[in-house]
Amino acid sequence: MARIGIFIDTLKGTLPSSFRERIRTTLRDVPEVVFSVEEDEFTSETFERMLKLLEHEGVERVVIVGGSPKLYETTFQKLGFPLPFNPYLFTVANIREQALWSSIDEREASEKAKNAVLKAIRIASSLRPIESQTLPLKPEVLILGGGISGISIALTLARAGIYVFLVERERTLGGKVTELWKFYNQELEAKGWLEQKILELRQNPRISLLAPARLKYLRGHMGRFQATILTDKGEETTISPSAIVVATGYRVERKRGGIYDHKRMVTLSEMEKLLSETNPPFPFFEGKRVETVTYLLDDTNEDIKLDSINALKQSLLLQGSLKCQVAILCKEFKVSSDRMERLYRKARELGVLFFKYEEAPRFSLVNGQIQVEVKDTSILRKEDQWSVSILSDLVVLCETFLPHQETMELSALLRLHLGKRGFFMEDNPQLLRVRSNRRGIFIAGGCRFPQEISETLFEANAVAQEVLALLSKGAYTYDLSVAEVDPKKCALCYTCPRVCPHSAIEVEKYAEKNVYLTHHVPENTKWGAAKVDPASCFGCGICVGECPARAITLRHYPDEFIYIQMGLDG
Amino acid sequence: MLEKEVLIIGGGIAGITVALELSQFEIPVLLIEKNPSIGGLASTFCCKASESCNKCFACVVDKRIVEIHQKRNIQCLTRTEISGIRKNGKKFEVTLKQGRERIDLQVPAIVMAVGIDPYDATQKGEYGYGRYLDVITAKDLDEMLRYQGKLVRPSNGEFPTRLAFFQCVGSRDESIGNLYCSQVCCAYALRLIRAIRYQYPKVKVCFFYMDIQPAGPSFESFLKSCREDQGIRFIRSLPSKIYYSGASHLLKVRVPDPQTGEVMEEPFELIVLSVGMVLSQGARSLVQWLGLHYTEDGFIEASSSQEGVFVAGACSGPKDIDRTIIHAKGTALEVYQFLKGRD
Amino acid sequence: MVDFDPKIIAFCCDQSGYPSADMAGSLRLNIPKNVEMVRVPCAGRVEALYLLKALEKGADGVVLFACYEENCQYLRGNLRARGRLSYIHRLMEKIGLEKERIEICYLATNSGVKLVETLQRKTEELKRLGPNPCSEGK
Repeated sequence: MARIGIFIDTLKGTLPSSFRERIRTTLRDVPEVVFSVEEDEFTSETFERMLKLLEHEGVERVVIVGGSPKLYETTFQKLGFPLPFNPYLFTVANIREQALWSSIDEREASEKAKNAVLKAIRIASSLRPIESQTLPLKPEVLILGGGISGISIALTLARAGIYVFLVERERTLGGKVTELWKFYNQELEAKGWLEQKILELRQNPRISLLAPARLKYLRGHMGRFQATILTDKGEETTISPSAIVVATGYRVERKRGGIYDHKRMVTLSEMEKLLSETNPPFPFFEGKRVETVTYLLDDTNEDIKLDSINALKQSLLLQGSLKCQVAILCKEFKVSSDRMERLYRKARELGVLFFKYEEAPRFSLVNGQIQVEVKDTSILRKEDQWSVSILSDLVVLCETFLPHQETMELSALLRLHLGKRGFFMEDNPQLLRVRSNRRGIFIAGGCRFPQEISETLFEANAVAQEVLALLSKGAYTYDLSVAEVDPKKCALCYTCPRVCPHSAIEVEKYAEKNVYLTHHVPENTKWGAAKVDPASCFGCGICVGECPARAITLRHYPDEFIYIQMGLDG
Repeated sequence: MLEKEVLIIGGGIAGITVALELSQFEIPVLLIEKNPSIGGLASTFCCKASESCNKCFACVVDKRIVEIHQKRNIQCLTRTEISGIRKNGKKFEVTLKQGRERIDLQVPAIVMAVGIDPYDATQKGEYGYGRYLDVITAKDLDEMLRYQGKLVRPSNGEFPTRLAFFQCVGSRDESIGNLYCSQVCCAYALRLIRAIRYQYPKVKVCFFYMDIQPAGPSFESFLKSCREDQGIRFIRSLPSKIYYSGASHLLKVRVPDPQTGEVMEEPFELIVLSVGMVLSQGARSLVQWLGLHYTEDGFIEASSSQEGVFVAGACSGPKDIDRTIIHAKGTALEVYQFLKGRD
Repeated sequence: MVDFDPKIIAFCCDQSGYPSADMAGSLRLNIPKNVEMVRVPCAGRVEALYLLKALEKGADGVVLFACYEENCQYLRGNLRARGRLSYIHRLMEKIGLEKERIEICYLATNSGVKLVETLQRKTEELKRLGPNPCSEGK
């Protein structure tokens, strides 16, 4: 029979005496209860006293009768000094939030409290100790993608003492930043800045650059990934990083067909290039001076701020120093980035015309120029809204932001989720943007969500921080409060590897016996069965619920535990 | 004298995030908060889900608060303020005040995570906030939903069916000198509206705005569902004044009809002002003591000129919870690099 | 209708249901008295079997509290729970048991008010539906 010690938290004396009486009477009749004491507050002194008492009485299982389990769980975690009992052998009867505070009257409350206490005692009797394990983590990281996110993270990690393998598909590094001319919020040219970073990267002894190369296979889990990299020369290298960062970027697609193929229809990146040209310097296009430039924003992506930022940056230059007339057509002008409102006002003061449209503007060719027709919605009465025609020398278009062509293949290789639009990771706030569904794999930059470069750099820093924090102790300590497959019962239906959101289950040949075997097999044959990687398991129990053979148990929430809570163990 | 490596001023989501990240490196941290509990502004927000999660991140804040209590090397002191800071060589000498008690501390690194205050809507006299009970801010509405779980008119406790939301109150406004976009208010208001309309389909909302600002990768589909919602009218103009009718106890606003262009007076039962962000009032003395600078918009310049001082969160510029967490992680990295670099 | 206190089993996941129950307590809202709270790490842990067993052993109703879509800490647990519930509903239809007895309710970590409103509403609904016709011994 289990031996249980009860500690009643009087909640700083606020527990009514009738309650305490009720609980005491209830406990008197329970044979498992070895002792019960009352405490006014749960400080570290209280705990020390508690532990001494437990040791003295030879009791391992504890029930705390008091407030929310969260209170005591957090205190236990915070304690730090060794407990004489396994931390999974304690449970809490929440009589404050779920009885005292949430009842109409004291009678109801004390009924609820009695039930909660009895239930907690039954739970405590059935609990099993859970051990902790340590997984060594060597300071090696694989970064997929040599754009600005990959480069930035590589440099930060290398400076902190981590060995980095950077794998880039193309021969050159830099990704989309190679198309950037100037930053919008600082006087800095991107080319030199990027070149400096790439130089630092190449010179850093802790960074191994593999370019052009790509990921061929990935096996294993956090701490012991096995990544096979294929270079363009056909050589294969295997790397075993502890963690992986995915920073593979995105692609853009421009509108094609009809007037969109006209040479005077340029994209924002092409415009960026034109502006940076010095021989001949802009604003000349095909020998003639460019007078009017029209920007069309928001017809492809409505949630990307990057286009508005680049359009505004270019317009200030065109209207300000190059004396062109700029018109910006947009649905909503996106000023929600650092300094954008001020730049927007400056642009208007300089004479840039802004038109907000609802119906898509129309294009036509007039004497070699492009005529842009848009309805001026600033007029209140819809009938009176006239169409404005802008005869433009150049029309600047946005490109559609799409997932990189390799994203889908990578998501299968890495067993990562894709979001609704095909970029990495569903938009789940619990992932805090930089985490993926797998422990030890992080997502950075445009492959998740294309943003302006300052934002991307902040995200890259956040990823670098997460990686450093993971690797800093040289090991990952975790409790075995995870799912466990009973290999004897596994029917190899492959449900659990497919269902596990964290890709923590794989099939391995490790089972020695199996209930489905009907014939005799030679000694020492190992049979295939599903296996949960304990360090990658998050302990959610989804696999437990799906396994048709009920071969999986969740150590800290076994069936027993749930039945007792349901009141069904009687 | 307390021995810590880092002092984090401010127990909101930014301060909490920096503390949690630094604790992973076993760096002893002291987090101080002037209010009785930690969590800051974001911990007063309600869940803004409609049929599915609308990515407001309010629940993420609640989870981080639980996490922070679990960490051994983070000490949190609430009801604590700073009465003085002085730089002494490579360390900062800080005097803390908790009620009547005085605590002295020496730290090599300080993180400013003092957060923001909502713009004081009483400054916009023409909207009548503070005079008319049924003109409230979006934050007031948020708290009403979180703690009371119901939507009522403050004036008479009745259920309002005609709501109006005014955007950009205190932002993008030259007349008050706030030449910046507070970035979060459009998504914040629209999420509140969708959550309210999901729970109370009879509520009709008029959304007065300038430009709708996006927030996050799901925003395009979210905005589409808002535009398709027949109960939300989008009107691209900001009313200049709210009128109050004593006879009907309703608020009146001049609204242009999008079809005819005629301006009509429309009655509303509840008007919600989406107020922008300004730097926390209490930050001024700290900025002075630490020799920090202000950005042209009145927030704290993040690229700190002061060695050993770091800035995290919205106090360096408007941010939603999502971006605050990302920035704060980056700040934690800076602190870690700084502390390591000294050794 | 017979006046009885319907027995409800509420599966509360550690990420949404349980913190909301705590929040309800701290707001001093009334959780109906015959509610048995079952703590699970994620709604995805709740097997279809448990839902049926609850009714078999005498519960009048079951509420499964799960996180909103795209807000599950473990990414897909809430969707799994919903799928299992649909399966159970189909079974219940076949045997002629009222589907309304088992319900899924989505909430977040800070939805104290919604939790209580759901449990109170469920209590009223179950009072109208009557006691569970198929619990053991009947």
